[in-house]
Amino acid sequence: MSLLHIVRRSFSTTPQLNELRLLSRVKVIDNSKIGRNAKQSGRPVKVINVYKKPPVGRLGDKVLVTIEHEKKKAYIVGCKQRQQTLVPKFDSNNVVLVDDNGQPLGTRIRAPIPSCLRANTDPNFVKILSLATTFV
Amino acid sequence: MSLSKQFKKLAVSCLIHNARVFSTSGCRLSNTLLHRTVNRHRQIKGGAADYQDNEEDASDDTGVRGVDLHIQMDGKPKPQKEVDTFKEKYPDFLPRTDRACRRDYVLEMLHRRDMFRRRQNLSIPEFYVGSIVSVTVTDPYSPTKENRFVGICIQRQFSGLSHTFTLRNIIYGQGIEIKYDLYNPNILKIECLKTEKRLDPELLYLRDCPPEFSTFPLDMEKVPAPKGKDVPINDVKIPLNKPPWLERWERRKDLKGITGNDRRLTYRQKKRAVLSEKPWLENDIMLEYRRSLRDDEVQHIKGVVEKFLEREQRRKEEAEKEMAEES
Repeated sequence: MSLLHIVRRSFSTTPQLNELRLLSRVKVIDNSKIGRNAKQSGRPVKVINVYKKPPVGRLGDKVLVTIEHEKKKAYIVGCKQRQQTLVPKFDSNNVVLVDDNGQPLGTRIRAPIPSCLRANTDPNFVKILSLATTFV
Repeated sequence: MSLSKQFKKLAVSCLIHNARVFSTSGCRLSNTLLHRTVNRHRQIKGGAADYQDNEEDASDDTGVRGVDLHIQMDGKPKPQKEVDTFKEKYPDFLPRTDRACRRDYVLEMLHRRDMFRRRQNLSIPEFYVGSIVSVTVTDPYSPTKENRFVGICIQRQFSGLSHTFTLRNIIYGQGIEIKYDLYNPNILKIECLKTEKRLDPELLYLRDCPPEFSTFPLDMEKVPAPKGKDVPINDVKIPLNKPPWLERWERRKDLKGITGNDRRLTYRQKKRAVLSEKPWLENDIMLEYRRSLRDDEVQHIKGVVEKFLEREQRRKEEAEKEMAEES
């Protein structure tokens, strides 16, 4: 019996939430040029702003990311976070890049996209959904 | 000022009663009445009365026989193997064992009735953790109004109507997990494409393993299960990726299906893994008693389920006969 067994921690811990907070790293899944460059160079793509309050990124939210020393807007299309039933949980946090006017930078998305996002009828978001090839 | 004689008498009797209850039940969370007394008054229905058809609701109520679960079931004890296979086959019918003091026998019975009602409309095959399952659900946003997913079952959780199972697959190099409620009315079809078991009760470590171990084609063909034999156990040992991992697998000595959870560790990790061991839990008989189900209880539930399955079989045969007569 060591000391560690007797002296218990004075603070409580929770299981990890895997939320997309500020400065969390994400993966670009469209085939835009800047996204491929970031993948090659290995520089991390980070969330620096979430366009809602509180600033916690969830499925379908619009965020601002730093990528290759630039600021780009993006939509979250896959989360590591624990989800409700029937909503897929991904192994990585995926985003799709858009420009300031809401036009997607890439032309194709190979990774699957949650089917529940199709409920979003925002015209800018529908453009992203039209690029997708598979829904789960 | 003195309290009245009657009040004193009441207070003393109350104190004595509470002390007696605490000493016999052993927990403060219990009712002031003993569980045994409550159950006797609730008249738990046994056997056939548990399952009722919609039409027979009125007729069956008269012939209810009260059975106290705390009294030994009559009849000889059946072999242990039957009980174990039932536990593995129908984990959704088993009562909760995580907090025994929160158990409610009446709620369990009502849940069971609703589950039977759902099973009349949806044929749920037997599948285990490690089997490959395909699930079709309604999807209002897809053009075909359906959505199908195939994956390996990595977890089965909770009991009763809230029973869930998790499927995992890798599509285009993207790992995906979907959790389903087994009794969700949105589910159209559940198919077990390959029936097999693994060495562990949960396969959450597949998240930290190479992708080829959780990749299954979406157009996979159904492999028929061997008839008249036990369910095959796939004793594959999966190597873990390099750390960092999502969980502390170096502390999980009980998992048999992984290798490499003791290699490539730092000195501190190894030290903490040894420190976190709890060898005394193996000898904790009370804990084991609280976490396990009594055999007679499982036998009771098994009898109820078998009765339902027999009825369902008969109902199907009759429907087929009627169809044949009409044509």
